[in-house]
Amino acid sequence: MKSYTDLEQSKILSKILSPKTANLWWGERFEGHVELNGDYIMDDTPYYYLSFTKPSDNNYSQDTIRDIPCWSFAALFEVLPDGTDITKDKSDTENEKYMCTVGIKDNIISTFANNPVDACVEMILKLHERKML
Amino acid sequence: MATIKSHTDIEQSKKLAEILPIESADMYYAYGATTPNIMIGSKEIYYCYPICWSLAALLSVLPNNENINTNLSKGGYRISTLEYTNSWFVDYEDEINGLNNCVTSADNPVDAAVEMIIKLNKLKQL
Repeated sequence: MKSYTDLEQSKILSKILSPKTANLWWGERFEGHVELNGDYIMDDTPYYYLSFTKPSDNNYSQDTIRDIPCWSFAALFEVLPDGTDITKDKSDTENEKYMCTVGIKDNIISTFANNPVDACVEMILKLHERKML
Repeated sequence: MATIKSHTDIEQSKKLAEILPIESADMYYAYGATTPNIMIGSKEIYYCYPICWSLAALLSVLPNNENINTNLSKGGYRISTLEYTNSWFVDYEDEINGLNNCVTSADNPVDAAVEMIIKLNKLKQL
């Protein structure tokens, strides 16, 4: 079960939401020097790891070059307006197992996904697009 | 950093470990740690650690079948399981138009979900 935003979703949401609403972090680091056929070369391929604390705050992770906020399902749910419902229902398609519904004034908006994280992310994007967040 | 409760605490984790299989957990507590780590790869290697459930993992173990659906509502954080047949829950709180409605609520969604799992386990309906 997907329980937090993946890297791409985290990057998109970090442009929309305050990092204070996140409860996890992706740390971006470079491997640095790696051995290849006896030689040491610079490897500038980034790799990512997940942390409950801001990676660059840790003394032992000074190689971290970027902190990217990440949202667990609970943190995403917290961002959404009061009255938001997550419904887990029997569905004909596995891809629509979770429904997120928000009712604002006369508008009822729903998103569907096979996990609650994706359903919430899609809802946040929809509400942001309609300036309803 | 958001302070919303997003996973089970150690006491809740111990209770749930007696009810749920390790496969349903997605986090574990390293020895002495108060913050969990996320499980990576095979879950079997974590059997010797206290295991922990995120809110998404808790929701995934709640009923989802032809007769029952599960709903998590924000605004009081309420979880309800509705079933669409005849009397089914022995210990239901409410009855709406013939549907039995088993409800738990708490000031965060994790506690509401844990309470629902414990309740459904007692009713042998997990």
